Amino acid sequence: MKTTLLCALLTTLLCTSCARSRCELWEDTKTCGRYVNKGMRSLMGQHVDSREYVAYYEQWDEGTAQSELDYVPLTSSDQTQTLAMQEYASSSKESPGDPGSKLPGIDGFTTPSGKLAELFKNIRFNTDSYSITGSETVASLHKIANYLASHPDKYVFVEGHADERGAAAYNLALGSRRANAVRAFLIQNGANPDQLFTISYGVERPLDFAHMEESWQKNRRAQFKIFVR
Amino acid sequence: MRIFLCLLLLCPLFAEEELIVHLNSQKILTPLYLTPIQNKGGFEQSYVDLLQQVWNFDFANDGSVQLVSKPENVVSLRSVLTKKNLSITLTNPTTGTVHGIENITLSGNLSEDRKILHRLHDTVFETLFHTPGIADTRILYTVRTKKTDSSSNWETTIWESDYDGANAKLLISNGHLCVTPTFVPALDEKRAEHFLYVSYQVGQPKIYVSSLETGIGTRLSFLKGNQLMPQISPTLDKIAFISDVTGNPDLFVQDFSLEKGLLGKPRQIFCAPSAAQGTPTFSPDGKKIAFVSNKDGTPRIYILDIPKPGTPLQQLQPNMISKKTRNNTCPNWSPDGQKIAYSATTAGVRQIWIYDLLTSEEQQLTEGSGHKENPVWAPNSTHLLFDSATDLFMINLNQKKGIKITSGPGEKRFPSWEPLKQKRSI
Repeated sequence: MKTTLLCALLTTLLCTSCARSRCELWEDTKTCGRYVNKGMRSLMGQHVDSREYVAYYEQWDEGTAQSELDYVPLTSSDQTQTLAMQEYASSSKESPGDPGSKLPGIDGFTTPSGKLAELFKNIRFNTDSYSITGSETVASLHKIANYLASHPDKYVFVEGHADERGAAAYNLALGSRRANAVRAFLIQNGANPDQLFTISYGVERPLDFAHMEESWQKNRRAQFKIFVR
Repeated sequence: MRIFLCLLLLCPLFAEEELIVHLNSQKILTPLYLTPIQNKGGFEQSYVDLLQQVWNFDFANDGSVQLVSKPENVVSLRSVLTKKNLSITLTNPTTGTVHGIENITLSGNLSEDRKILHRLHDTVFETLFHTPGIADTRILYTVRTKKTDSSSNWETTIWESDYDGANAKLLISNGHLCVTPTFVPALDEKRAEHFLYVSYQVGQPKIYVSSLETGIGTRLSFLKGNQLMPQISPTLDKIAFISDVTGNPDLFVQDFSLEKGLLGKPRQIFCAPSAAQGTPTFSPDGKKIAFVSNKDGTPRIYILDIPKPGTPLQQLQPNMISKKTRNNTCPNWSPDGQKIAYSATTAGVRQIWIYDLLTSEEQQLTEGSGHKENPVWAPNSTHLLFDSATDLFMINLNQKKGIKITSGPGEKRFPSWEPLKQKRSI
């Protein structure tokens, strides 16, 4: 009798604990299928993007899957570890000025004037830095992010500039880093990535041509250009 | 205790001395007596004097010859110009050999005749040293000038010239910024016919390819975002560049074919959290890339084995090679694969340094005031070009004196030296 009761109890427990909805079962099957597929492709020497990377891009557009990326990203070997690139903002759908783009190149964007000039103030940086610091700067960027969130017809180029003291080639990379830091901040605070583009000028377009600290401070900047569609 | 304190005080002196290091000359310069070109009619003497200047420059700066004023017991080169035909005789008293070339016809056009003299130099050089000369090579560079309109913008143009800065020819001038031109090496038997560059003509910087003949640029990459600093592998099968398509300036490579252009998708091969990557340069076998990154603080030079597709980020192990100085930028790998030149801030001034891959040593090549950057190697892995202030300078490891090779208005920057695969006949 005791044995019969024990068997019945175990059977009940096993049956209920293993019970899964059809959805869960389908998801598990898909996951299993992905890993088998990934393993087979890896064995064949083919590149496989991490799911985390794709998931990151899907937060803005579910249609932007890995197959649509126009480059092959680095992947992480550890599925739990965030890829270095995931801290940055996703790229926009448009490439201004390119064939097929509905947006003009930067020549079609204008320097903000009037009230917008007050809003889109230049963002300054410390030497060899791309950190956004200072309560005024942060407040200014919050206002810009709010404005862009409420004006989806506005498109903005963020220009990254450097002062003359660094090497010209390195400053092109630094300018890109600065512009992207501002873009990422704006996106994190509500702007749509499709509204924001970056351009790096390095030392090529200084605001102030003097060779002194005050001038260099002005030249280490992110600057904005606007287009209204 | 006192002895210890004395040693402690002396330490900075030794440290100071360590910074002032120069590469030892790789070889002793060969004395050569260059006779003045003997003019037997055909050209004005003033024209012959100009030819003589070209001849003198080539030999005085080739890194292997030291011009001497007396012909006794040294190699001598005698030149005779009969009407428009130049004949040269090379005499080596040590080996007892005499070489001659007869009746090379000069045109009277200095641009053309300069090229002939450069080729003659390289022929003499190869006869003496059994290695190709570099006088008959070309260089590319940009010239930045301020626009004359009311805007505060600059315009950048791309120029080609002989290795000594002469025969400058405008290649690209479209009113937009253009930076970092670089030769596309030719297939075995030919000279370079194309070059890559970055232009801002659609707004964001993009990679273009242009013929050296026509100067008409064609967009090479349609990747989104900023693309910067393209370099082509000496094996001609891939290009490396910096792109911020990921939201950060990262290192990319893409397969390349001289006939078909770019192939497949660009591949991100290195990124680091909150770090900027820049100025990639390939090893001669195309398997490694040296580049700049500030991932560990100040910008340093790293070497990375180009990873196979699918290699996870955690397996990438870039090796930092520049440790003595800060703000290291613009590495350039020598064609012999043994050295990497780069620019590094030294006592507040950007100087050219060289990393020796055989000994893992860093040595300072230049000194003096004036920032120096963008070093590029000549095909012989002995000469370098770099930009400083508003001009380009040439230097070689055996003579170590920077020679200004450009002049005129505008800032000349981002030099590229034509790679060579085969000597050319006169």
